[in-house]
Amino acid sequence: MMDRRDFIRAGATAGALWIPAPRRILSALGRGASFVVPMDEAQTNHLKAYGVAFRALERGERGEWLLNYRGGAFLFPASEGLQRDAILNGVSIEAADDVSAATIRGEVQATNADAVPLEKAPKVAVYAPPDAAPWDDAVTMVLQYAGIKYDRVWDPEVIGDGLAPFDWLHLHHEDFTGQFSKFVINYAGSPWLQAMMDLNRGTAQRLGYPNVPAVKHAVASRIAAFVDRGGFLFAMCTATETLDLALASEGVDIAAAYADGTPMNPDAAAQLDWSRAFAFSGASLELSPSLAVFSDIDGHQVNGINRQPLGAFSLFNFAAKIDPVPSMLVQNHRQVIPDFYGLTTSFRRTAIKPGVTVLADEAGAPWVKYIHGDRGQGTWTFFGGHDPEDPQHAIGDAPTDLSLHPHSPGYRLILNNVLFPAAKKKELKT
Amino acid sequence: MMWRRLIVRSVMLAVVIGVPVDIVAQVRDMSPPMARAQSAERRGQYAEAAIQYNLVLDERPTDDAALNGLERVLVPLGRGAELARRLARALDSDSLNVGLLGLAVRTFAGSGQADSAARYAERWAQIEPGIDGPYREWAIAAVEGRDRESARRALETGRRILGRPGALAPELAQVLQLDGNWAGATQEWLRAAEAQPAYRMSAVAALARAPVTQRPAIRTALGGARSVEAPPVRALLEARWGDIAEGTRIALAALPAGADQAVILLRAMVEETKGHEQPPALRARGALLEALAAHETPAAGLRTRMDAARAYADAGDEANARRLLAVVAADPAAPDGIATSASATLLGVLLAEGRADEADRVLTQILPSLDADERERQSRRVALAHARRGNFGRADALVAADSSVAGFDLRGRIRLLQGDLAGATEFLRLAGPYDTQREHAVERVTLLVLLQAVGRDTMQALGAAITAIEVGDTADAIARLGAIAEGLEPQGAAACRLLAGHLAVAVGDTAAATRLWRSANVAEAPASAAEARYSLARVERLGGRADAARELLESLLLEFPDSAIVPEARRLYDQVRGATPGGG
Repeated sequence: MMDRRDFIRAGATAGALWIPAPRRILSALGRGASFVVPMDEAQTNHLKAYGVAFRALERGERGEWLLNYRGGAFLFPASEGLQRDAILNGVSIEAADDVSAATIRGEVQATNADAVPLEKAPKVAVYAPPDAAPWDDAVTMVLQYAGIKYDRVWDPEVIGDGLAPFDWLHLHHEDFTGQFSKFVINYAGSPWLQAMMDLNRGTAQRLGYPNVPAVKHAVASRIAAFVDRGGFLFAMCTATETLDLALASEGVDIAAAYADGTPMNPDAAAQLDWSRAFAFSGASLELSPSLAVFSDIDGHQVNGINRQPLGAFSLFNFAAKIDPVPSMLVQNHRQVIPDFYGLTTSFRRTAIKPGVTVLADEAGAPWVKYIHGDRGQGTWTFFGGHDPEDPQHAIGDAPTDLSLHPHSPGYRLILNNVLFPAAKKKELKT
Repeated sequence: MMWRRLIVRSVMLAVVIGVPVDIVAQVRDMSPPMARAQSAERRGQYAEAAIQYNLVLDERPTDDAALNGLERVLVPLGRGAELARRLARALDSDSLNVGLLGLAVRTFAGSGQADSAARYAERWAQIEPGIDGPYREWAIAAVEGRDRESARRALETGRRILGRPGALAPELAQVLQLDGNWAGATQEWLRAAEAQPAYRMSAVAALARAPVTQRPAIRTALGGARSVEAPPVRALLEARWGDIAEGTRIALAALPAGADQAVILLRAMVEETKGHEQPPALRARGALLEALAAHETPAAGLRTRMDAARAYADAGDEANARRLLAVVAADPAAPDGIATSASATLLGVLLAEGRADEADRVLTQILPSLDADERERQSRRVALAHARRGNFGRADALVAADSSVAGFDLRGRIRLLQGDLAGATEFLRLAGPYDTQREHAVERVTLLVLLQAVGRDTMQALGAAITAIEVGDTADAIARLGAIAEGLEPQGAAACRLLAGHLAVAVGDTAAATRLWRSANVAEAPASAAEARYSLARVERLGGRADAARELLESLLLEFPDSAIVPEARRLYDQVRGATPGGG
């Protein structure tokens, strides 16, 4: 039995056909037929749908991202390749003939929606240590699950200008202040910590830097330059906060003695140059070397004495035709998403620079969750928290199995960012 | 301050002139001698304590506390003889003091002065006639002084004077044990237990420590004794020595007439069986519990019989387990829980033995005591057993009125075992796709898919193959299914081979399973082909051939997108591609 919503949807997409037996679709459609990849409740695997779109672009197919239309659906010319890929990955696609496609375009034109051309698959780089498993990082985990190819880069590649070939760079829980996430005192003796310290110290030495904070400051500067030249940066968790701290503290010692051999400059906060930072300004530094807290940028302070409980954050609505970039970044089938902790969970409103676009916040709370901005010729997006499907994530927890969360709205936000650089640049108005 | 200076000076002086510090300490300690004695004793300074106790006794020769203290410090110093002199002086003053006499007995016996010990013991006995304390003290002290001859003499003297044959028997038994006279010790322990039954377990504990070479002597002594305690002690000893069955045989053959004594012995024997898991011991435990139940209250007896039945069942003694369970199940006084449990256990035992007819009789007996659900459940168990043996008429009759999901399911299976595929399909469909246990539902759907693929109304051979599965003869079932497949249309053949492949892999024959699944992977049988590819992909993945697994899964997902196996296949596909943790 068809309920009212299905009836309305069926009317809105008049002529669209469900695909019970995909092998028959192409023969049933004429030339110029299209596939709609719905991203609303009709989608059977939201996360893999991004992979299907990404691989279509890799194959040279061109499509459109229908912002604010059915949860951010994709429209591609019908092809055997896309159909095969969708079937293999359990992704719902709908066939649309010329009439149906025209109807869809009419609806997009008539509502707060827009069609953004998708032209080429971006080259994706993930900044991660060479020994990290994909399951250590929410982004590599979802890229792996969706089947989106990426290259791994680390300090030697970044210092050696190895970011140039890439369109998109992702940072996750790296500590760009070079203090090993400030775990040194509380986790002293843990094998994983020792391995992390050995790897970072060895890398710094091989690259000719006196200590880890020095090499991380240099890496942060190279990343900023990558964005200045037009790169897309997406950072999560503590990479957001520490990247800005590293950039703002050029020439100022903000690292504990266990990182660089000298204690932190007690007057460091007053000497920070926030003009170099992406998103934040005026933050106070955490002076204790044993607290795994860097500054008061994070609103939740998961390891601090003022730890705040988790709530839920809401995505903002943007006018797709006026603000296509923020619109792309918030495409989702859910508007309210449960929050999740990270070493940096959220961003205090008062620490955010003017001009930064807030994409999601927690109503009434003094912090926001998801922000975006421009820098030079590029853009950046910061998303607080570690793993959208593991709200209390702790060291040593089992990795998240995304096949159990194929509709994760939090992970969708990450994948919006991956596909965002594929949008034709001339269409970007923000 | 003045005292501290004095002490410091004294110590310094002592060091200079080489006087022992102990003596210096005496000088400064002005407390009473008794307190100084006890303080020195606590510090382990026995020589000093002896000096102080003697100072007390100089003033009060019969002071019990001082004499006992002197005994405590002189014996470790090897100066027991000094105590004898003090005691003689004390007893001159108070010759009727029992405390002093006891001390004198211990002191003289311990120092090898047997005659003096005997003299004081006799004096003590004259003051308190009829008690065995003087002789026990004498004997114990003698044993401590390694003078077993005197100890035995003390005890024999005591027994003679006291005039009771069992007097001092536990002490004498222990002295005889020390002498290595285990037969004599046995006799004495029996006397002790006869006089006081609480000594039975002491006797068993003591005699159980006898060297293995001495066990025959003990058995002989027990066998020749006329004591009523001989059989129980022998029974417990045999059990303690590891022969639970022999101990049980002896115990049951000579159970005391009195219920209380019988219960005591049986409980003691049951305790001895704990920790022994071999069938003879378990069977013996069952027998003991059963005997125990006969002496208990009805309610306690029921529970004990259930325990006995479980012990018999654990021992593999199905007959006795069955017998007892039937008694419990048929007991009108049995609480519902116990009766139900007994009947279920009994049926389980019978069905495990393949005794369908016997189970049927038990079922008939206990049916009135079961509630409706339990009646149907137990009837289905018996019906299945009948069907497995080919007694389809009785099987059908037992479940004819059962309209539950499980009832329809079983009726369908009974038809299937007979080769009535149409009837089987009808009942299995009536049972539906749901069940309280998911695996039952899956199994039922699998059977329906098989029947649909075979597409015949009757087929005795398929009934025989399914019967082979039911009775656990997997090899026979695989062979039969393979033979059936040869004569069927492609869909039916593929379904039979698919099932045979699952049976083969369940018994570890992966090669046969692979061969069968490959032959089930045919275009004419899409339902079986999809599952065959999934099964083959799993084998390839387990064999570390991820590419081959991936190829199979892709062909499955593309060619059979509507197959019920697709969700499982897609999950496996993610794993072999490394898209989810645990894959690769």
